Amino acid sequence: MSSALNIWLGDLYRRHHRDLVRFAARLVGDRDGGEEVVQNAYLRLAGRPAQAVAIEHPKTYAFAATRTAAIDFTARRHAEWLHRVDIEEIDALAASGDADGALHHRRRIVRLAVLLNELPSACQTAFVMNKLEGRGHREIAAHLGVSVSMVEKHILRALMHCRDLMRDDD
Amino acid sequence: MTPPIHRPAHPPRALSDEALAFIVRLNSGEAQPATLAAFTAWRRLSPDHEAAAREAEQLWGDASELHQDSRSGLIRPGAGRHSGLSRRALLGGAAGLGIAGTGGAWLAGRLGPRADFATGTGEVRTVTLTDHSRVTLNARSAIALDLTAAHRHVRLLEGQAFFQVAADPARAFEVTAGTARLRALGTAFDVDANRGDGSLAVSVIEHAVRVTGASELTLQAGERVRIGPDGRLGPVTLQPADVTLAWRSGLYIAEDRPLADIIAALRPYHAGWIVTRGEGIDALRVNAVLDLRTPEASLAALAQGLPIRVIALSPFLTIVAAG
Repeated sequence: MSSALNIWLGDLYRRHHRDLVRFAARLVGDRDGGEEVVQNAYLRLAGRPAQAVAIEHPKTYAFAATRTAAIDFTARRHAEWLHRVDIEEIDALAASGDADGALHHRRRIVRLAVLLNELPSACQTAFVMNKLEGRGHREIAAHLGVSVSMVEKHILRALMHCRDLMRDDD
Repeated sequence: MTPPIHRPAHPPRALSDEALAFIVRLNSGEAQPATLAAFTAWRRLSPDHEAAAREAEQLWGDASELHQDSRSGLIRPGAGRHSGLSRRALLGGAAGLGIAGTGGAWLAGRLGPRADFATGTGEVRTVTLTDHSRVTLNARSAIALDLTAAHRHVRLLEGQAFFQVAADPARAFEVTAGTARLRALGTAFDVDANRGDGSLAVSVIEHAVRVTGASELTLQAGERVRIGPDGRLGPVTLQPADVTLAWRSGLYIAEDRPLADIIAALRPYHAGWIVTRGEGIDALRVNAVLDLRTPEASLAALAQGLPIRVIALSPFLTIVAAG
């Protein structure tokens, strides 16, 4: 174990512990899950072989690692969904033969779910009402008490956030 | 030498932002045909425009497979409440399949207290009965015993078993399986209920067995008969003992056998499900010696010689498809 790095990491996680757990809890939905996620993120970083990692923004780094751990945590929680296959899907897969593609796709969905939970509440609400509930911008604007163009901005921001972080992980 | 870093080239962020803005406007609920026309024209401007448009569409499409948990407000994977746990879904998870890796636990749930001896996935076990007869159970097999002073009855509940019957002129040794009744007139025979078509195969190794289904016949050493689910006896064929009993050493010897039989023989050695898909696939004829203990490798070996593809979707589900 590279003790210097671990001491630094331990310090980083102690200093930001409360914020990291709050962040993680929002991603996975409950505080206990959040604690576990932060712990996993720390353990994974500490378990890495000593590398000369230049970390320019330690706080960002800790949050990014927590996000990754939250995605893994969510994947585990939804393991059944990740592996569940519908009967019609079997025929489609038998025809395409692309099992890896199908699994990769499911993992993308899990990641997307976690990234959307990170959004500020108004932004998330606008996205959910539009994309998942199929409501128009005008209706959402009335519900949130903001302008239609603000709704458009919220949804665009949600998509840009997901796009950026999905790209990071590709 | 370090391998080249593989990084998928993403279209420029500025273009991607424009593509996302199009997607948002197209889904405003009040989009005009002109908006769609504008997007179509825009994406034709360059390969980067097209790539950005596709990335945006994929993101939007992927989000369709999410739902918001009504209680916690959390966004979760899986589309809507309706698809929560449909009855048409094959559960891939261990919980859904009731896989319990070891021992007879796999069978316990299905066969309940009726089974006196049961084996789990990949497990082969020989048990000695109180009359000193020996029964070797193939993987995922189960028997129920009824041994009294007057008779010896064994019921094959599932799978395959090899019986070495201890001589006892006073008590007949009978095995029932499905609709068939087998009466040991000698000592050693194999009963296989792991058939691709749901039939039963009885093979005699030593002496003879009286087989009763819809009709009756006496099967001699080296002979084999299939009994359909309706009790109908098939023609008697010859099969050497080492072919019949290869499973006891973890092998399966296929001599001109349908693929369905081979898959049925491999299933008890595989923790997940193996399903076949495609016209005529079950009837493909196979000649091969396969290792039962490594079902994935055996399937891969089969795929080299047959027009099939093996798709391992997860540790829980393997699809054997035509092609």
